[in-house]
Amino acid sequence: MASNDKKRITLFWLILLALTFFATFIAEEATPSHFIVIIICLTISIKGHIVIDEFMGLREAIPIIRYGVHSYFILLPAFVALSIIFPEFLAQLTTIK
Amino acid sequence: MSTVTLSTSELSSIDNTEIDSAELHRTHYGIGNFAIWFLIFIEFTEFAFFFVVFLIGKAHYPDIFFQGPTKLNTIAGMINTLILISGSFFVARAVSAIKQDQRQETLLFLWLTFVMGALYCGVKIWEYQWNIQSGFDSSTNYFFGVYYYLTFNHFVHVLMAMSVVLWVIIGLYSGHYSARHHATLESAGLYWHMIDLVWIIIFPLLYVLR
Repeated sequence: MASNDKKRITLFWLILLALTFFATFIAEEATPSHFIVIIICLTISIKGHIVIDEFMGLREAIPIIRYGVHSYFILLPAFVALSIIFPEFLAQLTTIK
Repeated sequence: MSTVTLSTSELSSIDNTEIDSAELHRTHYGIGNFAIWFLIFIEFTEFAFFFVVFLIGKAHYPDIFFQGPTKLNTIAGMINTLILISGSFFVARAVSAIKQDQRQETLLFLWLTFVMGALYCGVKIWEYQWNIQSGFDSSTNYFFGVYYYLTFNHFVHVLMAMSVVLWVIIGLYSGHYSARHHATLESAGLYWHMIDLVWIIIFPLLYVLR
């Protein structure tokens, strides 16, 4: 592993640790709101994409695998955010009448 | 019964063919092989169902799910997130090291990954005890039911990932991996990253988001 690659991967490790501290701090200190939910879901997505590309090295993988794994970290955080922002809709959708 | 005698060059040719076949399979997917990607996508699907169940429960019982995260030990959850992310970092370094044929460095990073897994398990067991002492178990309410089901399931996956890492450590001691032949080690790393990726969603979903 080239020295620059080591520095790069270490930098992303530190970014991931910082994002974890940030998300925890903001959630503990701030009043719960839709804005906070969106920020935290964005954090989930960013962390996922960093791990996928920088740690797993999926830039080298075939597109169906790379984009398949990336889409998990687009669709799920989006679903989490929408279901928390519009819980009545989800409850209505999943109620057996 | 007839016997077939092969020359040294023929034996060498067979050995190279086997290595090439493994590497060819790996090359087809760019990284990893069919088996590991099938397993990873199955695991992702399983956890996605759990997340959907959690969110449906949250939509139906908003009060219980609003109070739930406030009763959990967020610091323990955060420490475990830092541990798993560090484990991912170490396993990525191990895979990079074997590609350079640096076996000692690979071993060091694989052992560090294993230690991260053990630390995660230690923190998780302490957290479960802390919950029970605080009066919360799986029968407390729907939130804690899903919390225990999800986190214990993930805990079992971490134990499996630790076993896989231990397996490749033994393989490395036995001289099985090199810069040219490391598909199994790479797949073990991918499995570890999978459990890290799942926890990246579990932590905010259970401990943080209200």
